[in-house]
Amino acid sequence: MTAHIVLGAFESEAALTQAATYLRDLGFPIVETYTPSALIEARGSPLPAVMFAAGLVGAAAGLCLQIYAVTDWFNGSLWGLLGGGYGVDIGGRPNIFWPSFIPFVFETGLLFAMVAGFFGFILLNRLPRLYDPIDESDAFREASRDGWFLAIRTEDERVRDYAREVLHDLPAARIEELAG
Amino acid sequence: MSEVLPVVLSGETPRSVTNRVTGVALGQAPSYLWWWCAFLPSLGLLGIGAFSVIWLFLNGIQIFGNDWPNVWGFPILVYVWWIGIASGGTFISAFFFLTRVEWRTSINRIAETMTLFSAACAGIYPILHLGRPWFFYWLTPYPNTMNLWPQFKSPLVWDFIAVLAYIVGSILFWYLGLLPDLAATRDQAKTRSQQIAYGVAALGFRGSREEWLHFRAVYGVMAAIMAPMVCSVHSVVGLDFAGGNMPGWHGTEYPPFFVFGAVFSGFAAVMLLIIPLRRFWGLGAYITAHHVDVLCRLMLTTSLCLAYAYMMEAFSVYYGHDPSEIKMFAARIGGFDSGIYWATIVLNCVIPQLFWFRAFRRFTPLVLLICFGIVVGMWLERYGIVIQVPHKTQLPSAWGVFHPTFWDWALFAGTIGLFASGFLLTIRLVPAISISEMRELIARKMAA
Repeated sequence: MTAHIVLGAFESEAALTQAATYLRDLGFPIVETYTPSALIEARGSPLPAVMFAAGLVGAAAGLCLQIYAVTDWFNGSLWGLLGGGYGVDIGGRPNIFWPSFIPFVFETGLLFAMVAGFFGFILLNRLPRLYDPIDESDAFREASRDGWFLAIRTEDERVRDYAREVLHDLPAARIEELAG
Repeated sequence: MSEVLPVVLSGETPRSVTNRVTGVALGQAPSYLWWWCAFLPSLGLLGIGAFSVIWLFLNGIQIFGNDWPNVWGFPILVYVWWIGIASGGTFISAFFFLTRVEWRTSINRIAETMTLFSAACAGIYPILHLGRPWFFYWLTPYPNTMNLWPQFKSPLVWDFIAVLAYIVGSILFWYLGLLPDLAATRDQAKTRSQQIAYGVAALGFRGSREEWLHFRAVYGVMAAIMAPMVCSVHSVVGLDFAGGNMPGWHGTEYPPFFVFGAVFSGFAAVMLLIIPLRRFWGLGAYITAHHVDVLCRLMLTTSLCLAYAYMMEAFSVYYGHDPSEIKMFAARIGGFDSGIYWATIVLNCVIPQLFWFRAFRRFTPLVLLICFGIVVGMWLERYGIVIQVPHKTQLPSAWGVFHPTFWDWALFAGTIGLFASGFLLTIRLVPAISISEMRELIARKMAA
């Protein structure tokens, strides 16, 4: 079975949202929108939570690393293979002097969160994806300027034909069919 | 009070902003003559810098003026100056994103690009200034055959991780924000090579619902991370000094004092970049008199913060009553090179007071002149801190005067070349204004 894409273009964000809602209500399984800017009220990304967790991990790693380096607690264990730690007298402070550890912990935490956010974004969107069958449409280039698109991807020819009919009746400003 | 200046000129549409901004990147601007006129001299300066670095590697840091009592010299002076300029860019792009101000939208790309290259200039200086620069990675904590760790209680190690996190964070923040604009440029590109280049750079961003959903979420959180990070980075730079027992450095006011100065010089540098850019690339519809006005007010505010810090610096010297500090400070305000101190005060605190008056904020040539004065004034401030303070330490036998050498100046000129050529190249190749955010802003204005 070959895959099909039915692409509909709309003049405005309002027309597109209306159409997308209508199609989803009709029961179309996958209605993907492509828009020049984010649709209003897009919520529910897990990435902020992931970034927060990564930040905590980074901060904890930064703290553990410093404690490891300034104590000999782990030298007897397998961890000792990393070189082992040793205390140094800095201005008569204790070896584990937490106020001195704050900047390093803070920065590693933020660094981990930034890296997790960026690569989380790449992974969740399965980027880089340099080619998609939808690119075959010349009109689709407008999606990054002022065109508002929705795409229905299906392997069923009846769904494809029905989608085209619905888009035609809505009406969409322009309808295209592409091989998926 | 005053009439409201538009943040975008009327008549602009999401389509027009996309066309105009991608057009500059795609080589459709009316003229690139000015760009070449700026880029070629920058390359020349960069060449001087490259030659200085080679000369440095061949001869060691003896080619600089660094010597007791002044072992930091120009490299750390210029490092602090560049990282300060970088901070201002991040402050605009991250902090003002969180506060949802509209004028930030059209200048954040320029500000962030400025941040990237000034942070790069800052990043190489401490490495070059090491006696054996090829061992700079010893600052990284990693298991090694010497069984040695960096000294984690030292502000210099904090500085290393802070600058590293800042540079990596700035690149990611900049690149993520750029993805939708690279996609727009890819879609407007006419030639095959441009389509491929921008297509690869955009990673296949197409503006799907999922992509926007995650984009918005991650961009917002990244801004919320970068805003405190930029304050922490320059605070840690302040701690590099405050952590030493040098009279004049050993003060608790240093971290906020450094942050004020950093943001101040960064705003001035952004202004020096946006005013010519909007003229040469016809971006006046998006970078308006409103932006200039707002930045002038911000500089006035930070100038007052800085004036407070200068006053506290002087106050704590006399209140602390440490004879060596008083001697050092007396030399700074009345010694043979006291002109540096007074020029700092005049350029950073006195002249910016002109921004109280609207007429001065609207007169662009004067604004440019004052901003240039601020950038110079902030350099002089760092000269006072890095160079003049160690002239007089506790031990009179260790007193001495720093003399910059030809190579000090040459490498400084080289970093200006690195900044200018990198900035110009980037702003030529990528959209100089955040198109996706401008589209939203213009759509909002049109709906209102």
